[in-house]
Amino acid sequence: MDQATGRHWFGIRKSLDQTRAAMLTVLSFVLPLTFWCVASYGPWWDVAHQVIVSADSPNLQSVYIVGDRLEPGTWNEFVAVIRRDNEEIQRARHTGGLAVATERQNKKILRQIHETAVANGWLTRDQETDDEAIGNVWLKLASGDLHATRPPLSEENRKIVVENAVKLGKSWPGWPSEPFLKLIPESSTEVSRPPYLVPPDVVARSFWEGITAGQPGKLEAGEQGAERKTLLQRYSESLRTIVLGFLLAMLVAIPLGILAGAFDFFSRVVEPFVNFFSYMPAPAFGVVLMAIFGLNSGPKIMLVFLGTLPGAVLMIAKTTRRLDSSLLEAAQTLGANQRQLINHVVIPGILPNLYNDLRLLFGSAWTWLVIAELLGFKSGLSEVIDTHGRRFQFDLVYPAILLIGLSGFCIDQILAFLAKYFFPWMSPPKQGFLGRLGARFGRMIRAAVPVAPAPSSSVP
Amino acid sequence: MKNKLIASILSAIALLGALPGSAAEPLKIGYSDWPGWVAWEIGVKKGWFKEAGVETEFVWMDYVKSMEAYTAGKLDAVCVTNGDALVTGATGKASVAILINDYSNGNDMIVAKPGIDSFKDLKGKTVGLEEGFVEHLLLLKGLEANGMSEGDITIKNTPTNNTPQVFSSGEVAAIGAWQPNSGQAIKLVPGSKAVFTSKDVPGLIYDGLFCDPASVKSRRAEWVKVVEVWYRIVAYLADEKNLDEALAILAERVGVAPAEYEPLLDGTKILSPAEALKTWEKADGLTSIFGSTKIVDNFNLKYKVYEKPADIDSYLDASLTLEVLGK
Repeated sequence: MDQATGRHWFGIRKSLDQTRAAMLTVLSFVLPLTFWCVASYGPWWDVAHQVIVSADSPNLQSVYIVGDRLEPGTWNEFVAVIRRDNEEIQRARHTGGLAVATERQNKKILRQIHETAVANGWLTRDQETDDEAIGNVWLKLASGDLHATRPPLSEENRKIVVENAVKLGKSWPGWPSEPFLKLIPESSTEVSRPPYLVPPDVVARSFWEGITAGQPGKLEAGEQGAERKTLLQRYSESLRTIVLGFLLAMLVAIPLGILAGAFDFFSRVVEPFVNFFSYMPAPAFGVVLMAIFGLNSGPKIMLVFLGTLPGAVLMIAKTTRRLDSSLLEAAQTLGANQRQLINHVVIPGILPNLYNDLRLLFGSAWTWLVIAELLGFKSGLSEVIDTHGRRFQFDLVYPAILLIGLSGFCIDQILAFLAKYFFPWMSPPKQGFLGRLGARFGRMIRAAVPVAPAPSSSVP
Repeated sequence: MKNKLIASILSAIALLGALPGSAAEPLKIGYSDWPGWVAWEIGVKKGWFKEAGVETEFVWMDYVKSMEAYTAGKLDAVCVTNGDALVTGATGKASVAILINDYSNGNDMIVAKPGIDSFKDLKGKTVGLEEGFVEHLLLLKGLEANGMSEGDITIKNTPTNNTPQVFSSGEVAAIGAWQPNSGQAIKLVPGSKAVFTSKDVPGLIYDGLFCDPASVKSRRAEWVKVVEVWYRIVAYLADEKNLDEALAILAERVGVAPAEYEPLLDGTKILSPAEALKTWEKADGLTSIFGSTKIVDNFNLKYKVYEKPADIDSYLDASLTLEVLGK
């Protein structure tokens, strides 16, 4: 190791000292995060209306639900249409030509209060279609037993509540046939970011909700149909696809690679075609894989397999060829035969580098995950990314992407860290983030317990 | 050690072999996000297929991918429109409809961006839709109805599920899609609207369950049970009391809120038993599935979607529906 360390920031091919290196490591994450925060929270976004009380009307093209974010133009039109609907009813009441409303139409109008009722703690979230409870909320609101505080209802809507409750009270617990007035939509002012720019706090919350969500209750019919899987369940599906595909590829690639690296014969027979094959993108075979392996996990695992295999064979062959030839010569002078050379020199000799190769290859296997999981029956994290991405629900998409990134990164760091224990004679060229953490920890233990030399602190 | 290695290889291969469809027993049916087919979800969720004594596996897929999977022989049946069954039959694998779910009554739309007020304004513009499939048919029908020709519009091949994004990116003047994709597109681009829908040509697009003819022959009794379950679903949906529960199931499947899903029910005319029986009667014109399919076939030939006229009768088997509905 000719890398000198010292107290400097810039030195050609010189390592920084521990503290500075750690600082920069943290910075490398903080910088993009800061950029993200500035972009999200900066003062340059227009104002939009986030719906908190919604309404629907046959005169509208779309149904807006609570939480939707509307531009001012769309919002004003939305409110205007609902007001017009109400005016029509009012006018009809005076002229007498009032249309009869079905029970369902009236129930739907009363359900407008549901979100507000949930926010104020009067109803639970799953009482959205519990019309009796909702009707009671209306009556109590009108009589003054309940007061909407967060958020308060507008003056206009309080009048509508009273007016409707009078009609409802007459026939309660039955339903009047006279149409109710609709609540006028209300909104909170929100920043109108483009849908793909989700602020960090929303992503963090959604990520946390995703990984802490409990097992959703299974319907009695069993596993079929739309399943509500938690993020972690999906993650384990994805991990399974990746690991199986990768292991399968390695089962083929390791023997083949070592043979090709050790014997010119195998190198000539195998490598040219594998090299050619590696230029054909694996996803191009997606339809073929589906035709052969069906729609479940078969084609997904095989896509990861196909994607990882060619690169792995070439890489392992190269690693094998790079084995110091003096080792082979030494063994030969000691009288080793072909088989002994492979078993006792080549394989042990390349192990540390092979391990490192596998680590890198496992990282590249994640590349194929998203394409693989969309083959046939969509599954895993990619299903979230695909289906919610289409609906522009990026607050659900980013946690899934984040999970892929985090797990790839962590697994890689752990493997790099473990390499030190598997192959203590190799000096790792560059320690990973966790490796450095581990080293620090080791030193701390040594400092705290000076009598017992920690065996884990084999840092040069 | 060698034995161990061989054993582990073998077990890995065995594991992989066991993954795709180890039990070939259940009827595999591909369904996608068209409201008429999403309705199957009710039968799935409520366990009605088991109650009827038929093992089914409903596979949720993208529309075009489900047709590919059917062609590849991975599905026993697929939910498609009558027109697309012809296209799949001419280019991939033939199928036979044993059930007509519905006809499209407005849920298939050509949605144009703000500033384009009528279909005629699309002249010289680009439209994003899935080439060779149902929305293409709708567009061509729209061109015909407005006295325009095929060359008046440039088509950009876009998977239907991606049309909302493509539309909101502003790269195309209009898209062709079905609900909930078309509604999503309208919602994403304020001021946009549908300039032509299947409501303008009711009966052009029938949606059905198209099965592998060999499977219908060999497992007919099971398919009859599938048809029975469908009419149980139809009866369930027809009762307004069930609407909230139904909407929750349907909306969950496609990933929208129940309130957003409710308007979609109008755009898909799910056929009641009486209406279904009428549709299965042989007649010319769009009120009969035979007439409609013939018209679509002529249309496909005219626009060279495929070369040879299809044998319509081989695509339509009314007997199972008739058996279930007691005629």
